Amino acid sequence: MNELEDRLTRLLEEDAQTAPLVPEPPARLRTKVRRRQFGTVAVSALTVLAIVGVSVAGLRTIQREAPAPIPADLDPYSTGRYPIFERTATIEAFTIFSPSNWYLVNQAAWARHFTADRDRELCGGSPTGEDSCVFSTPGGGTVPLITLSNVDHGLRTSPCLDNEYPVRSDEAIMTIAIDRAFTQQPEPLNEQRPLEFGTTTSDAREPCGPGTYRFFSGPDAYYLAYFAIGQDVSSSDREALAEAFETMREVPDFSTRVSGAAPASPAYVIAGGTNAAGDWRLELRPSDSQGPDKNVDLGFVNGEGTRGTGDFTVPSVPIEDSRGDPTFGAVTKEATGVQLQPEGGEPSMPATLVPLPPSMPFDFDLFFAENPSGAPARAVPLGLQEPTPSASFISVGGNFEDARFSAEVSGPLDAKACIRIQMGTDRQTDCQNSGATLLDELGNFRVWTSDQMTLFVGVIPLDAALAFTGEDGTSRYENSCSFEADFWQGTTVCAMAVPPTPTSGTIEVTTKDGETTRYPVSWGSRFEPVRVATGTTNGTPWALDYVEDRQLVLVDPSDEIVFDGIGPTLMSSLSADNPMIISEYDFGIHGEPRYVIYGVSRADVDELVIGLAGDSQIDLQRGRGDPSFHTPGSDPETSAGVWWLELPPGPVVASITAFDAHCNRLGRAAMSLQAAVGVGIPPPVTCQPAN
Amino acid sequence: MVGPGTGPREAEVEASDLALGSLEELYVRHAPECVRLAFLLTSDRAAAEDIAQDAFIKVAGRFRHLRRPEAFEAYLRRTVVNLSMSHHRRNRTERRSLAREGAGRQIASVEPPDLTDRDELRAALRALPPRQRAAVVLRYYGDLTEFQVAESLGCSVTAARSLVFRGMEALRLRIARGDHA
Repeated sequence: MNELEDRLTRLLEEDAQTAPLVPEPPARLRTKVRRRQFGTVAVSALTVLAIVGVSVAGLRTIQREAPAPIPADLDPYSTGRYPIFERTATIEAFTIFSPSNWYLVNQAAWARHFTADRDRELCGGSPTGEDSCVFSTPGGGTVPLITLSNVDHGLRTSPCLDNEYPVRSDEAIMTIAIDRAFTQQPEPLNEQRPLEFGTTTSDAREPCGPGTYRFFSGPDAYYLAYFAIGQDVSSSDREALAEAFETMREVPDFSTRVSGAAPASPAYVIAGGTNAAGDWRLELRPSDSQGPDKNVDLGFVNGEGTRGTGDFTVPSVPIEDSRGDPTFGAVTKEATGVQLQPEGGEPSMPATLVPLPPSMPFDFDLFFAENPSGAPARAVPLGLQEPTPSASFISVGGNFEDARFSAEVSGPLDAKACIRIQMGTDRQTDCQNSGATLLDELGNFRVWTSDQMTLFVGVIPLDAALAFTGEDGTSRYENSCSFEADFWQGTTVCAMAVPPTPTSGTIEVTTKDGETTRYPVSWGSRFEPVRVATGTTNGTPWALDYVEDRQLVLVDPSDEIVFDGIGPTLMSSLSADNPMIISEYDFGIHGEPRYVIYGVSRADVDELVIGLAGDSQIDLQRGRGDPSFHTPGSDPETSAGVWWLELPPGPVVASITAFDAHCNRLGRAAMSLQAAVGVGIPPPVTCQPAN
Repeated sequence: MVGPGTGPREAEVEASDLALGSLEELYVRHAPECVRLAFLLTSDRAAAEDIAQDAFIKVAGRFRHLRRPEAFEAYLRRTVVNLSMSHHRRNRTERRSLAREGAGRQIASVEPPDLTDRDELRAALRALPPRQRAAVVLRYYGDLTEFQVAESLGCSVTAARSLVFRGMEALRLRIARGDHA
């Protein structure tokens, strides 16, 4: 620690002592927490009352024709292999708690698209909420958003859109829909409890068919909840459905709800929760790729956007996405489970196995594991006879001018590798966060610097010799490397310490056969961010900087990074399907958002097509013939393209699809910036083959 | 049926008190550090108290969904940082306006002759952009690893490292030229 750092540390500690002390919770905190807890407990208590009420009043069950869409014997939970947990999912303006063996479907984007198209077809022109034609259509002007059922009907059906919806005799279903044709004053959601099945709306309007209705107001619209219960539904399922409605709650701050990037297709919501960034959910939908391994897409959605992957190849790639909390992916059914194993010897955390729904009959399971602390960890399948050879650990070290150095490398020899280094008293960890941890090629060295030394850590062949020669050719370091074990297929990890002076030079790796490979390296103050683009959006200047570790960051006029995380994880991930990450920055001027989206695309991406939804209806393309959309800057290391796009103020929902030169879809991403209900769905994007 | 001694109201109070007791313990344990961190990030005593309380309210609201309660501290720290950033954003327009109005005075002003090194460093720290300042405070006050700094700021390790680096460089530069206003 240098003199400035010493001064700074002392100053901060002194200043911290002058901060006000808060020995016990102030009344305001107590009141607010009590209010929240009251809500939770009151809901539970009222649920008990609701169940009692149901038992006394009896149920008027709804009987309809019941052609079974999915055979009951395909219920994956009947095998006992999968745990049933309480699934918490925030969709649109509501958070719903439901058993994981029920099928929760997010139909919001698809239903908006569907109803808008149908309204145009049946009624012509631009439908409005006052158009009586709209209300005479099936569903009576409802837009189903969320469906919860104990039966898998698939994704593209809803009792509020289909008058012939087959409610099975053993089915219990709830649909939450926007009610565009409300004819009575709805009550707030919290005033609608307890639910009593068998009651009907006072105006006898049944837009989704016979059943039980609740009409309530949400933060942005009027809603209805529709319930249908077959005659053979068990009492426990009735209770589960009632409890799902009773405990459903509005998102407190609707502007920060989990809007995600809304593909126009409906999706099963298989899990949800809360992490450091807020509420999240995992969505499962059929893959729309054209590849031979086409199966499903599994996506993580939160208020900041989406990430995900799909077209799983298992068991060769048991883990598909470990870029954050949660880790999720697919695993072979031959595995007995999946564990999240922290790298530091902490206890393993079990992942939750989730079956594919019967409508997706692929031969693998899904899993997710929460890791809220963000501690470096990797997911490994359990119970396989030949486990995936991904677990490995090696520690190397030595002394450099009386200072101890060491490097502990664990995990697979890819982007999931975790490196912990010690340079004297300085300890650093770099695990699973960016391409910085990538040890994907021999001789791919990582460099750390401290006041005492510069430390290289890399992977070289066993029996090879390592040396470093400074740029002036006079300083040479040899045999500073410690070898210990066969780390990965005949390679080992090497750590070599050299003086800390900022400089550059060449690392030489010489095999036992005398073949020498040289790697130019540089570090220290020579690192300078490369400015690849600048612009001014609505009066606010911005710039894109290409920084170390192949990252692209958005900086403000004071060179402060205002948004980062672009590029390396996807560019370097061997299994990632997505070609890019989308990001945004709210400049926050004049209270209205101005957006710049930007990203880094894979080298084989020939064309990006962006479909924006909403009133703007802008289609923009990168690459061929549109230089304004593709920066002249590109990453020479990976030949990846850097692109950006300024967007006008206002809500944006967009889908971005990447194609190769033959219009094969390489992947897609989607985004939602300040999404608003009814904004719309990104139009399908198309690709024109290159001439 | 629900009997008079076990009615929902009684159950509600009992359960609430139990949970609140647990929360109070957490509050007593973590609140002082929250206030200190918020104070270092905002230099505003009142705001620091508000931020600490708001952070607890937000995290407490999600506490039942934490499958690993030991992550509470990390959640809380990140929430404090986020709220401090929001505090800065809310005041950004006002501060810009004040900065413009005060620009002439600042240029014309002369540093107090008895300005100590500590005051100089403190002023330079306060002049850092909010995220740089947060990164520096978390790194050197909280003694967090780069990974933890990144976690608290919601960014990558590389970005956290860059923020700390830029922040320290800015401090060195401002102190060297006495430009810390």
